[in-house]
Amino acid sequence: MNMKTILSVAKWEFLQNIKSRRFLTTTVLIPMIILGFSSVGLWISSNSARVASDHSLFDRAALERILQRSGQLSSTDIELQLSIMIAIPSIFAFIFIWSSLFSVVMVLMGVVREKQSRVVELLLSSISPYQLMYGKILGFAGLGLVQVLVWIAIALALFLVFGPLLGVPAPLLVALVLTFMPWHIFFLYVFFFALGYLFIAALSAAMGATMGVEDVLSGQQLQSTLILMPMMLPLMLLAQIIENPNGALALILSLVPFTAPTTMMMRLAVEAQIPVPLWQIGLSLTILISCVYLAMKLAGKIFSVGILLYGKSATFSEMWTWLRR
Amino acid sequence: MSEILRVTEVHKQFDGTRAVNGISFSVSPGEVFGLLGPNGAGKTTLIRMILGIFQPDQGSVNFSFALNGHLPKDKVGYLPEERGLYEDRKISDTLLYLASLKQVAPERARERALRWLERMELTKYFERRVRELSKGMQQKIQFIASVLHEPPFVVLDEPFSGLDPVNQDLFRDLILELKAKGTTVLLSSHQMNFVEDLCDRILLVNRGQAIVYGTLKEIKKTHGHDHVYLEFKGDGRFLQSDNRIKALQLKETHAQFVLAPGVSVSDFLKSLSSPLEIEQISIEKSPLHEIFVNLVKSTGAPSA
Repeated sequence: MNMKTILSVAKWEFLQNIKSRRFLTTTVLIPMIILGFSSVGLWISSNSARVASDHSLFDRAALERILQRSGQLSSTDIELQLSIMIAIPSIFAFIFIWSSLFSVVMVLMGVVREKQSRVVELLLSSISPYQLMYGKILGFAGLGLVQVLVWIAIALALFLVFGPLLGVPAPLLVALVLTFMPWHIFFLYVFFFALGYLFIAALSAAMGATMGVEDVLSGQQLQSTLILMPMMLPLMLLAQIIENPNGALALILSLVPFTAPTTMMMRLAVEAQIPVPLWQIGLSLTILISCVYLAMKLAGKIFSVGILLYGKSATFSEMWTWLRR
Repeated sequence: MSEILRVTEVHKQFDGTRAVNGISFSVSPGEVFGLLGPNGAGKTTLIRMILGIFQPDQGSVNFSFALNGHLPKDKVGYLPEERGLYEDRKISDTLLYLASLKQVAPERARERALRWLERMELTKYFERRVRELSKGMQQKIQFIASVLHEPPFVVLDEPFSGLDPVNQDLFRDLILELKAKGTTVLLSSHQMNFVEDLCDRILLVNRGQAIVYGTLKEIKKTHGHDHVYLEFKGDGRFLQSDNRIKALQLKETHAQFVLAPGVSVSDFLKSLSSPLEIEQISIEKSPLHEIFVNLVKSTGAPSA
């Protein structure tokens, strides 16, 4: 496998798409949408936080100890703190889902457009389908990274601007965020994020290769919904997961590769209060890594056959025969 | 004779349809090799197997410059029949990208691309987007993409289709220039006049199988007929009873006919001179066009 050509493809996809209108709108527009959602989220979470403290799910004393370490705080700030505690994973989950959504659409459209214009014929006389697919995934991972960095920067800026307006000094907010996002948690976030991203990107590339040009142009994109729906699930179940982060539901969702990244982000956000058993983090990561590996291999196979078929979308039984080749 | 490519008994099947069914041939370095056949005969599948885009179900494809049985893809160039480029990308970006996939350094690719564009009189389009170009211009860009990395072996699939006569001639000249530089060219085309002009040897395929394989001369000798045009004084009616003559068109002062297979031209001429006063005679081998049509008809319509 020639790394250099994979990088060439990645560079091409990155440079060509970073200038595209679609990238600019999603990168700038989506934060606005997230902002809207997260203000709703913040409102919901402040309610659920009240519920949570009523059930004394969170160790108030422990929280207060953390607060004292980070500076002088009145007890009303605990509400704020709980809100942040829930806002952080929601924001990350949103970022993850939106950036995946962007990639799914871009990878699908990119692959289909190459099929439609038959450029793919030219490409495959130079590189293997595997190199083409890995290059695409890498290129879009780079785009996703840029996007996430932009969004995090925007989120931080908003925190620092609006926090003081609400009467919370900026240094205190930073201290609070760091309390809930210590480095080891941040590292795990990045890890889950990246793995989840690779998993989704591999599936999208394979999907794109199996989709007929006409089907995509006529808007029959059922396949992309198939990938995205399960990713959204943990977000809909946010309250249940946060309230019982070590329950059966949370555990199951942590083991399914589609839902694992978002679920684990939520569970890790309340790590300080209710630690996630190490074996669960380990198992979740192991399953996710294996699934990424498997998805890459299978997607590569489907991609290499499907990419040269121009007509109708492939059926699942056809894909099955390709896999067994 | 040394070989740059040897294809041995390759087979490829798609969902029960035999696209290529046991084809063998070899290509010598520096020649222009013609791959002919009707639409759906299996040419594109064969080309894709040669270029490693498809793996043959059976048989093998060997390049003399392969490393451990692996084809270094930067040593081959390809102008696909199904043409397309990134519509909304710049020519410069596209050419440099495609060159980078063939391991050409950007500065060198740029320099070569500009030289080729100059040759094609397209220099001013270097920073334009592909969709601003006419079909013919896009075809030129694709030709450049297929040779920018200066490969020793180039596959041109229907390079002339969709071009006006002026550009067809340009492409013919380009192929001759490639040949002069020592590049081996595998040319697939339906333009028989260009195939006759350019190709040293030919493989004709139909229904996934090789029908004819050899030099142009050999093929014309074995599969062509002698077309005779005669102008004369005297009574030409005896020609009607000569069983060595086929497809006779007899007029007052001239006749046109085909010699039956196996009839020697010189023997025929000797027998002709006595009863007739010949004013003018021309004998030509069948054009490749006719041989192609006859052979394809006699071997059946393509299965796909």
